[in-house]
Amino acid sequence: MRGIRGKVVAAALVATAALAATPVPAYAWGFSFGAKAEEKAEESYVFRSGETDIVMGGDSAPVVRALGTPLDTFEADSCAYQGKDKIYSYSGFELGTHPDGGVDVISSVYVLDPAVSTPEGLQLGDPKSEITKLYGKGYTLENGVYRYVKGSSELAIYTTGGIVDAIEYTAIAE
Amino acid sequence: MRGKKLGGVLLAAAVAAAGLWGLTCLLVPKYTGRVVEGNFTAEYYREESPHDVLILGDCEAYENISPVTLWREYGITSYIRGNAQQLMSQSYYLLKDALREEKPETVILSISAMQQAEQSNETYNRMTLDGMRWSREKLEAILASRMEGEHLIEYVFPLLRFHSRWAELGGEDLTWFADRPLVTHSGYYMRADVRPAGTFPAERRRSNYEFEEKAYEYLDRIRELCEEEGIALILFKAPSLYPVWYDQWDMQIEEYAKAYGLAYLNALEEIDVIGIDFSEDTYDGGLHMNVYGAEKVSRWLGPVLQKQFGVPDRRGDAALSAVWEAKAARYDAEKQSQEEEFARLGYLTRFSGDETGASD
Repeated sequence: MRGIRGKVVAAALVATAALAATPVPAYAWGFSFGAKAEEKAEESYVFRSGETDIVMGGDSAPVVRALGTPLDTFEADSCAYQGKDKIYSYSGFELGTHPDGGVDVISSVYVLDPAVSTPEGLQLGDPKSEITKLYGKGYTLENGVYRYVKGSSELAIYTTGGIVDAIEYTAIAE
Repeated sequence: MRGKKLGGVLLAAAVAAAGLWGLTCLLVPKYTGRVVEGNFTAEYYREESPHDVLILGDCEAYENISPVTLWREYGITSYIRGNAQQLMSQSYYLLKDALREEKPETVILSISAMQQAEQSNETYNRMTLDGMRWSREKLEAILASRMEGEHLIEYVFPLLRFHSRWAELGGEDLTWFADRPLVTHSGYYMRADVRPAGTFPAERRRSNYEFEEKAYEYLDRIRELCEEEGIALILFKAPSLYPVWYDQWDMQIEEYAKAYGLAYLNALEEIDVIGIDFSEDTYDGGLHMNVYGAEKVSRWLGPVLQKQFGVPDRRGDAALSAVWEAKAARYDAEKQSQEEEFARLGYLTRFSGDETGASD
Protein backbone atom coordinates (compact mmCIF):
# COMPACT_ATOMS: atom_id res chain seq x y z
CA MET A 1 0.00 0.00 0.00
CA ARG A 2 2.83 2.33 0.84
CA GLY A 3 4.07 1.91 -2.72
CA ILE A 4 0.70 2.80 -4.24
CA ARG A 5 0.32 5.85 -2.01
CA GLY A 6 3.82 6.97 -2.95
CA LYS A 7 3.00 6.63 -6.64
CA VAL A 8 -0.18 8.66 -6.22
CA VAL A 9 1.69 11.43 -4.40
CA ALA A 10 4.47 11.39 -6.96
CA ALA A 11 1.93 11.54 -9.80
CA ALA A 12 0.22 14.52 -8.18
CA LEU A 13 3.53 16.33 -7.81
CA VAL A 14 4.52 15.63 -11.39
CA ALA A 15 1.13 16.82 -12.65
CA THR A 16 1.42 20.02 -10.61
CA ALA A 17 4.93 20.72 -11.83
CA ALA A 18 3.93 19.99 -15.42
CA LEU A 19 1.01 22.40 -15.22
CA ALA A 20 3.28 25.16 -14.01
CA ALA A 21 6.09 24.53 -16.41
CA THR A 22 4.20 23.78 -19.61
CA PRO A 23 5.13 26.57 -22.00
CA VAL A 24 1.56 27.44 -22.96
CA PRO A 25 1.74 30.56 -25.09
CA ALA A 26 0.16 33.64 -23.54
CA TYR A 27 -2.33 33.97 -26.37
CA ALA A 28 -3.77 30.59 -25.40
CA TRP A 29 -5.36 32.44 -22.49
CA GLY A 30 -6.63 35.20 -24.70
CA PHE A 31 -3.92 37.78 -24.12
CA SER A 32 -2.49 39.86 -26.90
CA PHE A 33 0.84 41.52 -26.48
CA GLY A 34 0.52 43.70 -29.53
CA ALA A 35 1.69 43.21 -33.05
CA LYS A 36 5.01 44.44 -34.26
CA ALA A 37 5.10 48.02 -35.44
CA GLU A 38 5.58 47.10 -39.08
CA GLU A 39 2.52 44.83 -39.06
CA LYS A 40 0.36 47.64 -37.70
CA ALA A 41 1.57 50.09 -40.26
CA GLU A 42 0.39 48.09 -43.26
CA GLU A 43 -2.64 50.26 -43.92
CA SER A 44 -2.79 53.54 -42.11
CA TYR A 45 -3.15 57.24 -42.63
CA VAL A 46 0.14 58.92 -43.39
CA PHE A 47 1.08 62.46 -42.46
CA ARG A 48 4.01 64.00 -44.29
CA SER A 49 6.52 66.53 -43.04
CA GLY A 50 9.00 67.54 -45.73
CA GLU A 51 10.25 64.26 -47.18
CA THR A 52 9.32 62.21 -44.12
CA ASP A 53 6.26 59.99 -44.12
CA ILE A 54 4.74 59.56 -40.67
CA VAL A 55 2.71 56.36 -40.56
CA MET A 56 0.29 55.82 -37.70
CA GLY A 57 1.30 52.74 -35.72
CA GLY A 58 4.73 52.62 -37.35
CA ASP A 59 8.11 52.55 -35.62
CA SER A 60 8.88 56.08 -34.45
CA ALA A 61 12.67 55.81 -34.30
CA PRO A 62 13.46 56.37 -38.02
CA VAL A 63 10.83 59.11 -38.20
CA VAL A 64 12.20 61.00 -35.20
CA ARG A 65 15.71 60.70 -36.66
CA ALA A 66 14.55 62.01 -40.01
CA LEU A 67 12.62 64.94 -38.54
CA GLY A 68 15.67 66.22 -36.69
CA THR A 69 15.84 67.83 -33.27
CA PRO A 70 12.37 68.65 -31.99
CA LEU A 71 11.54 72.06 -30.51
CA ASP A 72 10.51 70.30 -27.33
CA THR A 73 10.01 66.77 -26.00
CA PHE A 74 7.47 65.88 -23.37
CA GLU A 75 7.72 62.52 -21.66
CA ALA A 76 5.16 61.10 -19.28
CA ASP A 77 5.45 57.80 -17.45
CA SER A 78 2.11 56.08 -17.21
CA CYS A 79 0.99 55.01 -13.75
CA ALA A 80 3.14 52.24 -12.28
CA TYR A 81 5.63 52.57 -15.14
CA GLN A 82 3.55 50.72 -17.67
CA GLY A 83 5.12 52.68 -20.49
CA LYS A 84 6.44 56.11 -21.33
CA ASP A 85 4.38 58.20 -23.69
CA LYS A 86 6.31 60.90 -25.56
CA ILE A 87 5.20 63.95 -27.47
CA TYR A 88 7.70 65.64 -29.78
CA SER A 89 6.96 69.21 -30.80
CA TYR A 90 7.96 70.28 -34.30
CA SER A 91 7.18 73.41 -36.20
CA GLY A 92 3.45 73.24 -36.86
CA PHE A 93 2.63 69.84 -35.37
CA GLU A 94 3.13 67.47 -32.46
CA LEU A 95 4.10 63.83 -32.84
CA GLY A 96 2.99 61.38 -30.14
CA THR A 97 4.50 57.95 -29.47
CA HIS A 98 3.86 55.16 -27.05
CA PRO A 99 5.69 51.90 -26.33
CA ASP A 100 4.32 48.75 -27.91
CA GLY A 101 6.00 45.41 -28.38
CA GLY A 102 9.38 46.77 -27.28
CA VAL A 103 9.49 49.78 -29.61
CA ASP A 104 8.02 53.27 -29.51
CA VAL A 105 5.33 53.44 -32.15
CA ILE A 106 3.67 56.52 -33.57
CA SER A 107 0.38 57.06 -31.77
CA SER A 108 -0.69 60.50 -32.99
CA VAL A 109 0.00 63.62 -34.99
CA TYR A 110 -1.74 66.84 -34.01
CA VAL A 111 -1.61 69.75 -36.45
CA LEU A 112 -1.10 73.11 -34.74
CA ASP A 113 -0.40 75.60 -37.49
CA PRO A 114 -2.53 76.78 -40.46
CA ALA A 115 0.64 76.83 -42.54
CA VAL A 116 0.87 73.04 -42.28
CA SER A 117 -1.29 70.95 -44.56
CA THR A 118 -2.10 67.27 -44.75
CA PRO A 119 -0.67 65.33 -47.71
CA GLU A 120 -4.12 65.61 -49.31
CA GLY A 121 -4.04 69.40 -48.90
CA LEU A 122 -6.28 70.14 -45.88
CA GLN A 123 -5.27 73.01 -43.58
CA LEU A 124 -6.58 74.61 -40.41
CA GLY A 125 -8.92 77.43 -41.40
CA ASP A 126 -10.30 75.60 -44.46
CA PRO A 127 -14.09 75.47 -44.88
CA LYS A 128 -15.69 72.13 -44.05
CA SER A 129 -16.59 71.61 -47.72
CA GLU A 130 -12.89 70.93 -48.31
CA ILE A 131 -13.09 67.88 -46.04
CA THR A 132 -15.40 65.81 -48.20
CA LYS A 133 -13.76 67.14 -51.33
CA LEU A 134 -10.40 65.80 -50.20
CA TYR A 135 -11.39 62.74 -48.16
CA GLY A 136 -14.76 61.67 -49.51
CA LYS A 137 -17.95 60.81 -47.69
CA GLY A 138 -16.82 57.78 -45.74
CA TYR A 139 -16.83 59.60 -42.43
CA THR A 140 -18.77 59.59 -39.20
CA LEU A 141 -19.83 62.97 -37.85
CA GLU A 142 -20.23 63.76 -34.18
CA ASN A 143 -20.35 67.23 -32.65
CA GLY A 144 -18.65 68.79 -35.65
CA VAL A 145 -15.88 66.17 -35.79
CA TYR A 146 -15.41 64.24 -39.04
CA ARG A 147 -13.79 60.88 -38.44
CA TYR A 148 -12.23 58.76 -41.17
CA VAL A 149 -10.84 55.32 -40.42
CA LYS A 150 -8.20 53.56 -42.49
CA GLY A 151 -6.87 50.22 -41.22
CA SER A 152 -5.69 50.78 -37.70
CA SER A 153 -5.60 54.56 -37.92
CA GLU A 154 -8.06 57.40 -37.67
CA LEU A 155 -8.08 60.90 -39.06
CA ALA A 156 -10.21 63.29 -36.98
CA ILE A 157 -11.02 66.68 -38.44
CA TYR A 158 -12.55 69.11 -35.95
CA THR A 159 -14.72 71.96 -37.14
CA THR A 160 -16.28 74.93 -35.41
CA GLY A 161 -18.70 77.18 -37.24
CA GLY A 162 -18.03 75.34 -40.49
CA ILE A 163 -14.26 75.92 -40.31
CA VAL A 164 -11.56 73.29 -39.76
CA ASP A 165 -9.88 74.17 -36.46
CA ALA A 166 -8.03 70.98 -35.51
CA ILE A 167 -6.63 67.96 -37.36
CA GLU A 168 -5.52 64.85 -35.53
CA TYR A 169 -4.20 61.50 -36.71
CA THR A 170 -4.25 58.64 -34.24
CA ALA A 171 -3.33 54.98 -34.25
CA ILE A 172 -6.29 52.90 -33.13
CA ALA A 173 -5.45 50.72 -30.15
CA GLU A 174 -6.11 47.02 -30.79
CA MET B 1 -9.26 -1.11 1.84
CA ARG B 2 -11.83 1.45 0.70
CA GLY B 3 -10.82 3.71 3.61
CA LYS B 4 -7.18 3.44 2.69
CA LYS B 5 -7.94 4.25 -0.94
CA LEU B 6 -9.95 7.29 0.09
CA GLY B 7 -7.12 8.33 2.37
CA GLY B 8 -4.69 8.02 -0.51
CA VAL B 9 -6.86 10.12 -2.79
CA LEU B 10 -7.29 12.79 -0.12
CA LEU B 11 -3.57 12.82 0.55
CA ALA B 12 -2.82 13.16 -3.15
CA ALA B 13 -5.36 15.97 -3.43
CA ALA B 14 -3.81 17.73 -0.43
CA VAL B 15 -0.31 17.36 -1.87
CA ALA B 16 -1.49 18.67 -5.24
CA ALA B 17 -3.27 21.63 -3.60
CA ALA B 18 -0.20 22.43 -1.51
CA GLY B 19 1.94 22.19 -4.63
CA LEU B 20 -0.32 24.52 -6.56
CA TRP B 21 -0.39 26.98 -3.66
CA GLY B 22 3.39 26.91 -3.40
CA LEU B 23 3.85 27.39 -7.13
CA THR B 24 1.36 30.22 -7.14
CA CYS B 25 3.22 31.94 -4.29
CA LEU B 26 6.46 31.50 -6.17
CA LEU B 27 5.28 32.61 -9.61
CA VAL B 28 2.98 35.58 -8.99
CA PRO B 29 4.66 38.98 -9.42
CA LYS B 30 5.98 40.40 -6.13
CA TYR B 31 5.97 44.10 -7.05
CA THR B 32 8.91 44.91 -4.81
CA GLY B 33 11.13 46.65 -7.36
CA ARG B 34 10.45 49.74 -9.37
CA VAL B 35 6.75 48.90 -9.60
CA VAL B 36 5.25 48.49 -6.13
CA GLU B 37 1.63 49.31 -6.97
CA GLY B 38 0.61 45.66 -7.13
CA ASN B 39 0.85 45.48 -3.34
CA PHE B 40 -1.46 48.38 -2.53
CA THR B 41 -4.79 46.56 -2.34
CA ALA B 42 -3.60 43.78 -0.01
CA GLU B 43 -1.73 46.14 2.28
CA TYR B 44 -5.01 47.56 3.57
CA TYR B 45 -5.83 44.31 5.38
CA ARG B 46 -2.72 44.74 7.54
CA GLU B 47 -4.13 47.85 9.18
CA GLU B 48 -4.44 47.57 12.95
CA SER B 49 -6.92 50.35 13.65
CA PRO B 50 -9.99 51.89 12.02
CA HIS B 51 -10.05 55.07 9.95
CA ASP B 52 -12.36 58.07 10.02
CA VAL B 53 -11.56 58.96 6.43
CA LEU B 54 -11.23 56.55 3.51
CA ILE B 55 -9.77 57.89 0.27
CA LEU B 56 -10.55 56.10 -2.99
CA GLY B 57 -9.26 56.46 -6.50
CA ASP B 58 -6.42 56.14 -8.96
CA CYS B 59 -2.94 57.66 -8.81
CA GLU B 60 -4.52 61.05 -8.09
CA ALA B 61 -5.62 59.58 -4.76
CA TYR B 62 -2.54 57.65 -3.69
CA GLU B 63 0.13 60.14 -4.77
CA ASN B 64 -1.31 63.45 -3.63
CA ILE B 65 -2.49 63.07 -0.03
CA SER B 66 -0.38 62.10 2.97
CA PRO B 67 -2.36 60.33 5.74
CA VAL B 68 0.59 60.73 8.11
CA THR B 69 0.41 64.52 7.70
CA LEU B 70 -3.35 64.40 8.29
CA TRP B 71 -2.67 62.53 11.52
CA ARG B 72 0.31 64.51 12.69
CA GLU B 73 -1.22 67.95 12.15
CA TYR B 74 -4.95 67.29 12.65
CA GLY B 75 -5.25 63.93 14.40
CA ILE B 76 -7.22 62.57 11.45
CA THR B 77 -7.05 58.81 10.87
CA SER B 78 -7.22 58.02 7.17
CA TYR B 79 -6.33 55.39 4.60
CA ILE B 80 -6.02 55.51 0.83
CA ARG B 81 -7.50 52.59 -1.08
CA GLY B 82 -6.05 53.57 -4.41
CA ASN B 83 -4.39 51.77 -7.29
CA ALA B 84 -2.87 52.57 -10.65
CA GLN B 85 -5.70 53.37 -13.05
CA GLN B 86 -8.31 52.26 -10.55
CA LEU B 87 -11.66 52.44 -12.28
CA MET B 88 -14.82 53.81 -10.67
CA SER B 89 -16.23 50.29 -10.57
CA GLN B 90 -13.14 49.12 -8.70
CA SER B 91 -13.40 52.02 -6.25
CA TYR B 92 -16.99 51.00 -5.58
CA TYR B 93 -16.10 47.38 -4.82
CA LEU B 94 -13.07 48.36 -2.77
CA LEU B 95 -15.36 50.61 -0.72
CA LYS B 96 -17.79 47.73 -0.21
CA ASP B 97 -14.87 45.51 0.70
CA ALA B 98 -13.61 48.10 3.21
CA LEU B 99 -17.06 48.37 4.76
CA ARG B 100 -16.74 44.73 5.79
CA GLU B 101 -13.78 45.77 7.91
CA GLU B 102 -14.80 49.18 9.21
CA LYS B 103 -17.14 52.13 8.76
CA PRO B 104 -15.43 55.45 8.03
CA GLU B 105 -17.25 58.74 8.64
CA THR B 106 -16.09 60.31 5.41
CA VAL B 107 -15.11 59.03 1.98
CA ILE B 108 -13.01 61.14 -0.38
CA LEU B 109 -13.40 59.98 -3.96
CA SER B 110 -10.88 61.04 -6.59
CA ILE B 111 -12.95 61.69 -9.69
CA SER B 112 -10.22 61.65 -12.33
CA ALA B 113 -11.22 58.05 -13.13
CA MET B 114 -14.52 59.34 -14.51
CA GLN B 115 -12.70 59.97 -17.78
CA GLN B 116 -12.04 56.27 -18.33
CA ALA B 117 -14.81 53.75 -17.73
CA GLU B 118 -13.02 50.70 -19.12
CA GLN B 119 -9.57 49.35 -18.36
CA SER B 120 -6.89 49.82 -21.00
CA ASN B 121 -4.15 47.59 -19.63
CA GLU B 122 -4.55 44.17 -18.07
CA THR B 123 -1.67 44.81 -15.67
CA TYR B 124 -3.65 47.54 -13.92
CA ASN B 125 -6.52 45.14 -13.34
CA ARG B 126 -4.19 42.50 -11.94
CA MET B 127 -2.47 44.99 -9.65
CA THR B 128 -5.80 46.23 -8.31
CA LEU B 129 -7.75 43.00 -8.06
CA ASP B 130 -5.26 40.25 -7.21
CA GLY B 131 -4.68 41.68 -3.74
CA MET B 132 -8.37 41.72 -2.80
CA ARG B 133 -9.49 39.11 -0.32
CA TRP B 134 -11.89 36.63 -1.83
CA SER B 135 -15.45 37.77 -1.33
CA ARG B 136 -18.54 38.54 -3.36
CA GLU B 137 -17.10 42.06 -3.83
CA LYS B 138 -13.93 40.70 -5.41
CA LEU B 139 -15.88 38.47 -7.75
CA GLU B 140 -18.12 41.34 -8.82
CA ALA B 141 -15.16 43.69 -9.18
CA ILE B 142 -13.50 41.25 -11.57
CA LEU B 143 -16.65 40.78 -13.60
CA ALA B 144 -17.26 44.53 -13.76
CA SER B 145 -13.78 45.53 -14.89
CA ARG B 146 -12.10 42.64 -16.69
CA MET B 147 -10.92 43.35 -20.21
CA GLU B 148 -11.80 41.38 -23.28
CA GLY B 149 -9.59 38.30 -23.15
CA GLU B 150 -9.32 38.29 -19.37
CA HIS B 151 -10.86 35.23 -17.75
CA LEU B 152 -12.30 34.83 -14.28
CA ILE B 153 -10.54 31.49 -13.88
CA GLU B 154 -7.17 33.26 -14.09
CA TYR B 155 -8.11 35.36 -11.08
CA VAL B 156 -9.28 32.30 -9.18
CA PHE B 157 -6.05 30.50 -10.07
CA PRO B 158 -3.40 33.19 -10.73
CA LEU B 159 -0.99 30.39 -11.65
CA LEU B 160 -2.82 30.07 -14.97
CA ARG B 161 -1.88 33.66 -15.77
CA PHE B 162 1.62 33.81 -14.32
CA HIS B 163 2.97 30.29 -14.87
CA SER B 164 5.25 31.52 -17.63
CA ARG B 165 7.17 33.67 -15.12
CA TRP B 166 9.23 30.61 -14.18
CA ALA B 167 11.81 31.69 -16.73
CA GLU B 168 12.33 35.07 -15.07
CA LEU B 169 12.23 34.13 -11.38
CA GLY B 170 14.62 36.12 -9.23
CA GLY B 171 15.77 36.37 -5.65
CA GLU B 172 12.79 38.47 -4.62
CA ASP B 173 10.46 35.63 -5.61
CA LEU B 174 11.99 33.55 -2.85
CA THR B 175 12.43 36.40 -0.39
CA TRP B 176 8.79 37.42 -0.71
CA PHE B 177 7.40 33.96 -1.32
CA ALA B 178 4.60 34.23 1.24
CA ASP B 179 4.81 37.78 2.52
CA ARG B 180 5.36 41.30 1.17
CA PRO B 181 7.16 44.37 2.45
CA LEU B 182 5.08 47.41 3.32
CA VAL B 183 5.35 49.69 0.31
CA THR B 184 2.93 52.48 1.17
CA HIS B 185 2.25 54.75 4.11
CA SER B 186 -1.44 54.10 4.81
CA GLY B 187 -1.94 53.74 1.08
CA TYR B 188 0.21 56.76 0.18
CA TYR B 189 2.99 56.23 -2.37
CA MET B 190 5.93 58.34 -1.26
CA ARG B 191 8.30 60.13 -3.62
CA ALA B 192 10.79 62.67 -2.33
CA ASP B 193 12.50 63.37 -5.65
CA VAL B 194 11.86 66.55 -7.59
CA ARG B 195 11.29 67.11 -11.31
CA PRO B 196 9.86 70.56 -11.98
CA ALA B 197 6.94 71.03 -14.29
CA GLY B 198 7.88 72.28 -17.74
CA THR B 199 5.80 72.91 -20.81
CA PHE B 200 2.96 70.63 -21.79
CA PRO B 201 1.67 69.50 -25.17
CA ALA B 202 -1.21 71.37 -26.75
CA GLU B 203 -4.63 70.69 -25.26
CA ARG B 204 -6.27 68.31 -27.67
CA ARG B 205 -9.87 68.67 -28.66
CA ARG B 206 -12.35 65.87 -28.10
CA SER B 207 -15.53 65.18 -29.98
CA ASN B 208 -17.39 64.17 -26.85
CA TYR B 209 -16.66 65.41 -23.35
CA GLU B 210 -19.54 63.51 -21.73
CA PHE B 211 -18.38 60.97 -19.14
CA GLU B 212 -19.43 57.45 -20.06
CA GLU B 213 -22.60 55.96 -18.64
CA LYS B 214 -20.70 53.20 -16.86
CA ALA B 215 -18.58 55.74 -14.98
CA TYR B 216 -21.72 57.55 -13.87
CA GLU B 217 -23.32 54.24 -12.91
CA TYR B 218 -20.55 53.49 -10.41
CA LEU B 219 -20.38 57.06 -9.18
CA ASP B 220 -24.10 56.70 -8.43
CA ARG B 221 -23.49 53.40 -6.67
CA ILE B 222 -20.73 54.88 -4.51
CA ARG B 223 -22.97 57.82 -3.62
CA GLU B 224 -25.92 55.58 -2.80
CA LEU B 225 -23.78 53.25 -0.71
CA CYS B 226 -22.42 56.21 1.26
CA GLU B 227 -25.97 57.49 1.77
CA GLU B 228 -27.14 54.08 3.02
CA GLU B 229 -24.23 53.87 5.43
CA GLY B 230 -24.47 57.47 6.61
CA ILE B 231 -21.04 58.31 5.23
CA ALA B 232 -20.23 61.82 3.98
CA LEU B 233 -18.96 61.70 0.39
CA ILE B 234 -16.50 64.28 -0.95
CA LEU B 235 -15.54 64.45 -4.63
CA PHE B 236 -11.90 65.39 -5.09
CA LYS B 237 -9.76 66.51 -8.01
CA ALA B 238 -6.01 66.47 -7.41
CA PRO B 239 -3.77 69.34 -8.49
CA SER B 240 -2.31 67.52 -11.50
CA LEU B 241 -1.41 69.73 -14.43
CA TYR B 242 -1.36 66.94 -17.00
CA PRO B 243 -3.24 65.16 -18.54
CA VAL B 244 -5.66 68.01 -19.05
CA TRP B 245 -8.71 68.13 -16.80
CA TYR B 246 -11.13 69.71 -19.27
CA ASP B 247 -13.51 72.46 -18.19
CA GLN B 248 -16.34 70.37 -19.61
CA TRP B 249 -15.41 67.53 -17.25
CA ASP B 250 -15.15 69.87 -14.32
CA MET B 251 -18.58 71.27 -15.07
CA GLN B 252 -20.13 67.80 -15.10
CA ILE B 253 -18.69 67.01 -11.67
CA GLU B 254 -19.83 70.38 -10.35
CA GLU B 255 -23.34 69.73 -11.63
CA TYR B 256 -23.36 66.23 -10.17
CA ALA B 257 -22.19 67.47 -6.79
CA LYS B 258 -24.81 70.22 -6.83
CA ALA B 259 -27.58 67.81 -7.84
CA TYR B 260 -26.87 65.48 -4.91
CA GLY B 261 -25.68 68.00 -2.33
CA LEU B 262 -22.09 66.74 -2.32
CA ALA B 263 -18.91 68.68 -1.69
CA TYR B 264 -16.54 68.94 -4.64
CA LEU B 265 -12.99 69.94 -3.77
CA ASN B 266 -11.05 70.85 -6.89
CA ALA B 267 -7.45 71.36 -5.81
CA LEU B 268 -6.58 72.59 -9.30
CA GLU B 269 -8.47 75.75 -8.51
CA GLU B 270 -6.75 76.15 -5.14
CA ILE B 271 -3.13 75.82 -6.20
CA ASP B 272 -2.19 79.26 -4.79
CA VAL B 273 -4.15 78.72 -1.58
CA ILE B 274 -2.50 75.33 -1.09
CA GLY B 275 0.85 76.90 -1.88
CA ILE B 276 1.97 74.41 -4.49
CA ASP B 277 5.18 75.34 -6.23
CA PHE B 278 5.45 73.23 -9.36
CA SER B 279 9.20 73.75 -9.48
CA GLU B 280 9.57 71.85 -6.18
CA ASP B 281 6.41 69.96 -5.30
CA THR B 282 6.21 67.40 -8.10
CA TYR B 283 8.45 64.43 -8.92
CA ASP B 284 7.34 63.93 -12.51
CA GLY B 285 6.96 67.32 -14.11
CA GLY B 286 3.53 68.24 -12.80
CA LEU B 287 1.61 64.99 -13.20
CA HIS B 288 1.75 64.04 -9.52
CA MET B 289 2.81 65.62 -6.27
CA ASN B 290 5.97 64.52 -4.51
CA VAL B 291 5.92 64.22 -0.73
CA TYR B 292 6.29 67.99 -0.28
CA GLY B 293 3.30 68.66 -2.51
CA ALA B 294 1.24 65.87 -0.92
CA GLU B 295 1.91 67.30 2.53
CA LYS B 296 0.75 70.73 1.34
CA VAL B 297 -2.44 69.24 -0.11
CA SER B 298 -3.02 67.45 3.20
CA ARG B 299 -2.57 70.68 5.18
CA TRP B 300 -5.23 72.23 2.96
CA LEU B 301 -7.52 69.21 3.24
CA GLY B 302 -7.23 68.68 7.01
CA PRO B 303 -9.02 71.87 8.13
CA VAL B 304 -11.74 71.31 5.50
CA LEU B 305 -12.37 67.80 6.83
CA GLN B 306 -12.56 69.02 10.41
CA LYS B 307 -14.50 72.25 9.95
CA GLN B 308 -16.92 71.22 7.22
CA PHE B 309 -17.30 67.51 7.93
CA GLY B 310 -16.58 67.29 11.64
CA VAL B 311 -13.86 64.67 11.29
CA PRO B 312 -12.52 64.27 14.83
CA ASP B 313 -9.03 64.84 16.18
CA ARG B 314 -8.02 61.45 17.65
CA ARG B 315 -4.67 62.45 19.08
CA GLY B 316 -6.07 62.09 22.58
CA ASP B 317 -6.59 58.36 22.04
CA ALA B 318 -3.52 56.62 23.42
CA ALA B 319 -3.96 53.41 21.47
CA LEU B 320 -4.45 55.21 18.15
CA SER B 321 -1.56 57.53 18.92
CA ALA B 322 0.73 54.57 19.40
CA VAL B 323 -0.31 53.08 16.05
CA TRP B 324 0.13 56.38 14.22
CA GLU B 325 3.40 57.30 15.89
CA ALA B 326 4.82 54.05 14.56
CA LYS B 327 3.50 54.89 11.10
CA ALA B 328 4.96 58.40 11.34
CA ALA B 329 8.37 57.07 12.35
CA ARG B 330 8.46 54.76 9.33
CA TYR B 331 7.27 57.61 7.10
CA ASP B 332 9.98 59.96 8.39
CA ALA B 333 12.66 57.33 7.95
CA GLU B 334 11.72 56.66 4.32
CA LYS B 335 11.39 60.35 3.56
CA GLN B 336 14.84 61.04 5.00
CA SER B 337 16.35 58.11 3.14
CA GLN B 338 14.86 59.27 -0.18
CA GLU B 339 15.93 62.86 0.47
CA GLU B 340 19.51 61.82 1.16
CA GLU B 341 19.67 59.64 -1.93
CA PHE B 342 18.17 62.33 -4.12
CA ALA B 343 20.60 64.94 -2.75
CA ARG B 344 23.50 62.58 -3.43
CA LEU B 345 22.56 61.21 -6.84
CA GLY B 346 19.94 63.55 -8.25
CA TYR B 347 17.56 60.63 -8.68
CA LEU B 348 16.18 57.68 -6.73
CA THR B 349 17.86 54.44 -7.80
CA ARG B 350 14.82 52.31 -7.14
CA PHE B 351 12.69 54.31 -9.55
CA SER B 352 15.27 54.91 -12.25
CA GLY B 353 15.62 52.85 -15.43
CA ASP B 354 13.49 52.41 -18.48
CA GLU B 355 12.07 48.96 -17.94
CA THR B 356 8.36 48.77 -17.27
CA GLY B 357 8.89 46.49 -14.32
CA ALA B 358 5.64 44.79 -15.08
CA SER B 359 6.89 41.52 -13.78
CA ASP B 360 8.65 42.81 -10.71
